[in-house]
Amino acid sequence: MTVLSLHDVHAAPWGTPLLHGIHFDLQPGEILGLAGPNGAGKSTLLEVVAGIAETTQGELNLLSKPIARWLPRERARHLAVLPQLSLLSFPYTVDEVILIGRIPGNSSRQEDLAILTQVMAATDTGSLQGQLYTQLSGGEKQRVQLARVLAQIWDEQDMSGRVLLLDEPTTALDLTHQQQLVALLKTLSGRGLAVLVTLHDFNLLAAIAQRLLVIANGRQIALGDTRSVLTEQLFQQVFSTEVIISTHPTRGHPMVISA
Amino acid sequence: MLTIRRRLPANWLLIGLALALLPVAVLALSQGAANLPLTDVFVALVKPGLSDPNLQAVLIVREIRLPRVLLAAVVGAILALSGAAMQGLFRNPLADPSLIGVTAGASLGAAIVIVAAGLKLSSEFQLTLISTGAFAGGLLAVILVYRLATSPNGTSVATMLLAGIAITALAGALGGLLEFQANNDMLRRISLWKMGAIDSASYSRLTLAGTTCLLLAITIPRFAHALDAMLLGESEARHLGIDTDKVKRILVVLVALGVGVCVALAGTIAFVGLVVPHLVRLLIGPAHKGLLPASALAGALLLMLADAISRTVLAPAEIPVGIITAILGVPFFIVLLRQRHQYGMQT
Repeated sequence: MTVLSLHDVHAAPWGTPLLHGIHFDLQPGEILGLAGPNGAGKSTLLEVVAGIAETTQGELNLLSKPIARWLPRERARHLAVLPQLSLLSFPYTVDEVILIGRIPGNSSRQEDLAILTQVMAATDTGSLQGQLYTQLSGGEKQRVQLARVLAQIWDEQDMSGRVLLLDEPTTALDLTHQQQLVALLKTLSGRGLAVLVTLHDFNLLAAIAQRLLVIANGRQIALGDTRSVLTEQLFQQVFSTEVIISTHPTRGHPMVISA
Repeated sequence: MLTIRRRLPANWLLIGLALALLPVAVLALSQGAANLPLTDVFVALVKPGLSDPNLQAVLIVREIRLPRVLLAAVVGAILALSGAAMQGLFRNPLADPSLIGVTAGASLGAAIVIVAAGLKLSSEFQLTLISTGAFAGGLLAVILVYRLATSPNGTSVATMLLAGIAITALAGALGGLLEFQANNDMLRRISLWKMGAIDSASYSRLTLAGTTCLLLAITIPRFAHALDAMLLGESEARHLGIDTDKVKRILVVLVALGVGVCVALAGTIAFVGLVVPHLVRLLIGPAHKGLLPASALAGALLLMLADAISRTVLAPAEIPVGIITAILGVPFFIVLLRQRHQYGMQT
């Protein structure tokens, strides 16, 4: 079963063509990294995959059904998105914000509260229970938002058939919580969750993702397993930067070092 | 400093407000130019027929005060509920139902009718005509604002806010032009109408307002979850499976209808729509599931009290109730503004 498949996808959400011929599959339990320079179309691609921006050409299927044919609420039970920045100026508590993620679900209040406890434990937000979201630090807010999108598609046993899109999920996280996020994503992918994640930190990306998709100017430059995609030529071609590709001494994944 | 906020459970507040409705209504019925003992009010309400020896009290309560007190409750409920919905929709705790241009449009509509219809203004027919003009003006203004803010990419709430300000300014200018042409009696009528008053209550008007209130009270709370999600941002709400354009369209229509009817029947009553949801949010938090019904109940209570005050302070003369709500509302609002950070408001 393929969770997500894109075949020659083009998109022009504000009239100007921004994506040209994007082509990839996502299998259950797979973590695909999405990289590219600023303005490459990463966020647009996430919007398109999420079914928010329309495609102008090509096929985009979620669980073998065209994304546009999904009822929004049904789609939201299978696909959640963590945006870069969420503004919330009303004094909701942390619990209330996370439970907003349960809106598309049709579970009982008890089940929702059980999920709340589980996602709070998974994201290390349990200590923030009852606090006001508006008074949290940037990193705490980011973890609460992660807990919210996890609550949206949460299942304690089996998360195959569900997709999580993460747009720069570590920007405000300290080193501890970055490592916790890496571990959490691996646990969840073990449960069958498919993840598409954008990051500017290639070393973090190499630690998280099995495969990488690199785009530039809305076009697909490379797609493949992390080691074969991360080459010195790629960095020259896409980022006009000299780098040295090495290997992590203990974990064995590729490492990118500025030359 | 992070604080765990102690909040009143929403259900407690809802029950408390609901229980307060009847005593406040009875109190409001007893107050006015003729001060009636509470026993007379009960007798007038409960006893069938008009054969009671205390005929005057029965008449006052049943024919004058009851429709008026009920109309105040209904108008207060509509304004507060609409205010809560608009603050959620605009993601701004300082939004007011009048933001979308409905109040300014209605004022202009009323002024046009008053100036065009001449001076026999006390008759029931004239009142109905002014109300119709106000309602049409309010609705037209909202349609214009909504069209201005809608593009093929959807409706932008930020543009709606700006368009609302523009249309309000335009309606104000046109109203000024009319007032420039009007004679003194017309001017007085226009300005009195603008201050807001519930003195024209009758059972037929109450039925109209009550039906509108019922419609809003049934439909708006169904959007409680959608409003919570939209406060996170529109794309977040769409990722949660919410059709945000549909939510915006329906809420704007409902609020325009509700506020249009209120302004048509009672003129412009300031600050109820702004202050009541604020106060409720302070007590039970911003989640719309509790906020929307609690605001409606609190709005009903507040306007019943304000109307009672407007009838008694200078009795037998009556102060327009819009002045009372503003005098009560503004100092309160300023206190809220100064304390907003203490309850987690960030704007």
